[in-house]
Amino acid sequence: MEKEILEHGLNFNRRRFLSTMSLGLGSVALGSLMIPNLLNGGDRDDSGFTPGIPHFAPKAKRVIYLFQNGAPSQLETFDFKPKLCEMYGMDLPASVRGEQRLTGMTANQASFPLAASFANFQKYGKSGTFVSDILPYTSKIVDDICVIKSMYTEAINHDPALTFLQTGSQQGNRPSMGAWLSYGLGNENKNLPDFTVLLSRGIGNGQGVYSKLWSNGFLDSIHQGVQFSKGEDPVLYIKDPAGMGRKERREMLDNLATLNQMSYEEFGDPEITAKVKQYEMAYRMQTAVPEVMDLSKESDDIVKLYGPDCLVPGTFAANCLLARKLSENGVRFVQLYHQGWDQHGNLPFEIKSQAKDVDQASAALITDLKQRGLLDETLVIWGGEFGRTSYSQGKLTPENYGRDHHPRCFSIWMAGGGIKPGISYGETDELGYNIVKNPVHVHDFQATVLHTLGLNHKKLIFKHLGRRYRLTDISGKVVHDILS
Amino acid sequence: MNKKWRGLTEQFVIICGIFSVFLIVFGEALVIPSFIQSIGRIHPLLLHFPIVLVCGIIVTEFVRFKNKLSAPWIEDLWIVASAFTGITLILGLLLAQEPGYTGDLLSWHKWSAIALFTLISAFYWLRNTRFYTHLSAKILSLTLAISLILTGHFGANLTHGASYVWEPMQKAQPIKYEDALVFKDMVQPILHAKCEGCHNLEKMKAQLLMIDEKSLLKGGKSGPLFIHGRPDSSRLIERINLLADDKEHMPPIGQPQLSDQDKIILALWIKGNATFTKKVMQLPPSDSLNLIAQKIFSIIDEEAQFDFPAADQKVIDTFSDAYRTISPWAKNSPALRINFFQKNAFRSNKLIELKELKKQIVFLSLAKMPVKDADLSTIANFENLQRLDLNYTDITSKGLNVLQNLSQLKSLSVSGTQMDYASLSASLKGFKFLKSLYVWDTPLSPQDIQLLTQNFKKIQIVGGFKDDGKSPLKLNPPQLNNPTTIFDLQAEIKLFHPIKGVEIRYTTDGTEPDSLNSAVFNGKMSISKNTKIRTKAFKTGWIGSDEIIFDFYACKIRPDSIAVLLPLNRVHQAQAEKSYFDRLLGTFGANSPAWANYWTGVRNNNLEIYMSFKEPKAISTISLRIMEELATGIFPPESVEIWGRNSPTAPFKLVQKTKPIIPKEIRTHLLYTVDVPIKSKVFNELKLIAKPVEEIPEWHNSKGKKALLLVDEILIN
Repeated sequence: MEKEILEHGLNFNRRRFLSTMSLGLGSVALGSLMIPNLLNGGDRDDSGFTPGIPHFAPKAKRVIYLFQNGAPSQLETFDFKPKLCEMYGMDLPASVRGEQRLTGMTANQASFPLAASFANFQKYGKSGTFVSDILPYTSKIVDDICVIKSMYTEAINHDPALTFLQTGSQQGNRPSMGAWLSYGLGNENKNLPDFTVLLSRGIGNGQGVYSKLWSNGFLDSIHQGVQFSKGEDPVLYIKDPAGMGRKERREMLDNLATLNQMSYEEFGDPEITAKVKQYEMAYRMQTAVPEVMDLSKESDDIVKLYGPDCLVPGTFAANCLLARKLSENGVRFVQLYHQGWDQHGNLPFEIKSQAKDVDQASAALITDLKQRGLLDETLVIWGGEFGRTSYSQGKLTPENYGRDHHPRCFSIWMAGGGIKPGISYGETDELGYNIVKNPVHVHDFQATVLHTLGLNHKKLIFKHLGRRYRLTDISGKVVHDILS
Repeated sequence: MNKKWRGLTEQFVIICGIFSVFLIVFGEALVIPSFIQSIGRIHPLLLHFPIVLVCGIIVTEFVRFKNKLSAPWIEDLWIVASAFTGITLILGLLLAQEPGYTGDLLSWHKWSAIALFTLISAFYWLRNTRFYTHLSAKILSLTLAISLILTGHFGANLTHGASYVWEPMQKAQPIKYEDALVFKDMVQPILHAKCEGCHNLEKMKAQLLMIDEKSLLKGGKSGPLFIHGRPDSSRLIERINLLADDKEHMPPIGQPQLSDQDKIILALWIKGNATFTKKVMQLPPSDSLNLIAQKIFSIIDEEAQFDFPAADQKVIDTFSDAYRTISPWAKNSPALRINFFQKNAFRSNKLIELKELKKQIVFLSLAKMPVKDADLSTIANFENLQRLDLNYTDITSKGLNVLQNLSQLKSLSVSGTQMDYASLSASLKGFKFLKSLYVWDTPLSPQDIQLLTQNFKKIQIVGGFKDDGKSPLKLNPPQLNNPTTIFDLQAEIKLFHPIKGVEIRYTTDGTEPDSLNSAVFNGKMSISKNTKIRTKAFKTGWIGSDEIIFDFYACKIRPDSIAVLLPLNRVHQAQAEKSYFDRLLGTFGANSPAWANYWTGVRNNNLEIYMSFKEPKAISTISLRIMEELATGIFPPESVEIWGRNSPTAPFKLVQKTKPIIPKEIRTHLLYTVDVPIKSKVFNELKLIAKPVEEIPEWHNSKGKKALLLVDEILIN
């Protein structure tokens, strides 16, 4: 104990010393280095950053990310490649593949037979967007969404690719997109977490989802994603223990806050205030969460819109409905993960069932947000972590084939706040292998998402261990072409 | 410095003086050889030495008499400073000979430098004379300081341009796309940053000025800069696109280079006839220059432009609480967004209080709050309101009238409220500026909404989804609320369906349930023996669900201890011996946790399980629940043997052996029990030996290989 007291004293002195030292002319110069407009007087431009306030006028205020975990094939969903039918079964020309590295799963394959999609494509809506027939409901909302066919990533395996999309780094330990938004925009509803996570799985080949994907990384722990699970306790540990009333809980929290305040005054650790805030939020969540999670009052129209599964907790449909409710209640970032899109084999059967799991509810979410006047201010994103190869993994038969991981191109869609509706952006080559027009890197995508929320990705920074970190690391440019 | 060196330096200073005079007088007439030109260019490098030295003599001279300074190093300082000033002056004069250096600035620089040199060298000798006093020293040092500052200032302006120092502090107003001019806002900034440094009135390299329309059209020494409409034949474009090491490449190496975008802009500008007057907006929408401009200039969002003052932060803080959040629209924007949460926390007064912020409220969400028509008159005061969310509030269409005066209101959401066609239609007439209206889940019929859409063409009216019954959906199957389907003696069946009003029908006789004849589940149902419950859900307006089957198993007896005698497969360990009586059943699909965690499996050896009972038990059947998935080589066991004994010392005796039927052809996956009947014998200890299929039969893809046996539960009755 004595050691701690001594250290505390030393820390305090060191801090004092450093802060006094920087007074005087030095601090003016230093100050002007850190706050570039210090000597410029009042300024209306958006440099500098105040956590919790957008840099410029936002279009979207909240995000719902329908993550299709495992990487849905773009060739069976949005990227129509009739040429593959012509060249069915032929080997992928080496010139197209180039020097690309393949996964261990197909690298040793003797041939790379091109596989046409079993699903049929048609143009839908006024926009004439191509959608395959495994997504009949999505085809009805094409005029509200923007399909990006030219996404590409750097990672070739699920976990790094997923981590890259969510945190901007393949290695993990960085804050997730939702945590960055919570940090950048602050909360709208102080009774619910800013960042919530909902999981579901289909019958297809699944890949893990880990809590590091909704980590706050080096940001304050208040920005961490909170998983809402399907059971009786959607958020763990917020119920009062048996025998404790609302009043006792209040008194307990008040007393605890007094103690915490004392220790904050002594040690000055910001984590103590973060903790107090979390206790208070948990207390308010005790009323807010059951209200949001209650699906019993949803109308018949809503059940028909999202499909009957929306009342079965833990399904993608139920999570979509919950996502709408959470978002409507001011949750900044609702992250869904639907597992089971990893179709290395048995693709036609599995992907149909995966698509069936998500199609109706994804489209319903757009319609539902729209009819409440919320689509304009909510950004909805649908997509996986990478694409799939245009050649078959394993044996190609008329009924069956598989597709391996393909980072060079994949399709996602975005809709709502700040995104141009009814367009397709980017193009891949005739074999759906390489991008030929308007490539969108993962960092570009992230920069664009932040932009719609009024955040400049180059200015949303956090200094940690001597380095300034961004979601987009050191690159990324906003894709203005898809912004409304 | 010894005498010899000082003498030499003094002579050097005198030579400098003479040479300078020569250059000043005959400079215009001289032709400078190229090696001298290079020497001249050292001027900007060398000039920093005399500046420091002259600063030194200014300071020492100023305090000379007061502090009685008379050390010999001061003399040295003077003569060295003088020499450096001289050599810098000469280099400067040589540099000035280069073409491109003209103008007032140059002559001011030149003459102030000459003055400086003259002063220093003259007073090196004069400062030690009698006439030189305390006062003269002060005057001299001040004069030197002034000349030094002037010389330096003019020189710096010459090199970097007059606005060099202050430029970063001058704030550039963001240019709106709508106002941007092609030349002034796209082309000129490039010229200014990358070309004007050398091609200005002071420096005019190659007799070329690039400062305005006139000078650009005029061109330079080697002719016009460009030909209208023909970037390929334009000198400007040629020079900037030469390789960097080419002599003619512009800007010269070492100077800031043009970016790719700069080059493209210049070429496109010339291609489009080098306009000096056109606005970017006047270019065709698909014009490349126009597209680039859209990226450069901010397209100002009108909705986000506000001219009212910001509210006092203190007022904002007073009104913010956990159930009424007030947040700025964006950094430096006076606009506010206000959201209300939690029904119980809402009072009309909480809205009235906000009058203090009436100018600043631009976005207001009151969704699900018990807002009444009367409260709308408060909202009518929020003059800059653009978006109003009143979904699921207690307002009616009659109350909306008061909002008509909100001239900024563009989006109004009243989904889930009491709207009737007549009064809504009447109110809407007064809304001149409204762009979108959301009226989903209101009493309005689809026909009403259609009429509204026809009558109010300027307003986008969103009616949302209303089921017309034309495309019924398939119900999802019933669910089971029992924690397990294994029971001791009796089980209450708890079938359930999440959708209200669904009829659950079932059979227990193995037939497929239908919507007419099968029993309706009424909430009460109990069974006491193994039962297969086949069930479906039905509801009018929906397509009946797929069938779902729940297998209920009785297991009256559980052993007091259990052990697995031979190893399980490495990947099919489940919970080892605990798996068999934990009442958790496995299922299909390698992704399911119930697959990974509940199935124990063997392939290379028998499954051998030992069970013992404290009291001897009368047993009639022992069953193994297994998975059969022929396609992946999961087969039923070839045989199951039960061995038993009644005393620990007696040997085990074979009680019963069963050989399940091995399928003869591929079939879909199945879950079932393999039953071994033992005619009510009493045992203390049992041993179960299940033998996986040794050789997969001929008809199978993997014929001849060993099959996998998977067991998740043992049932003893």
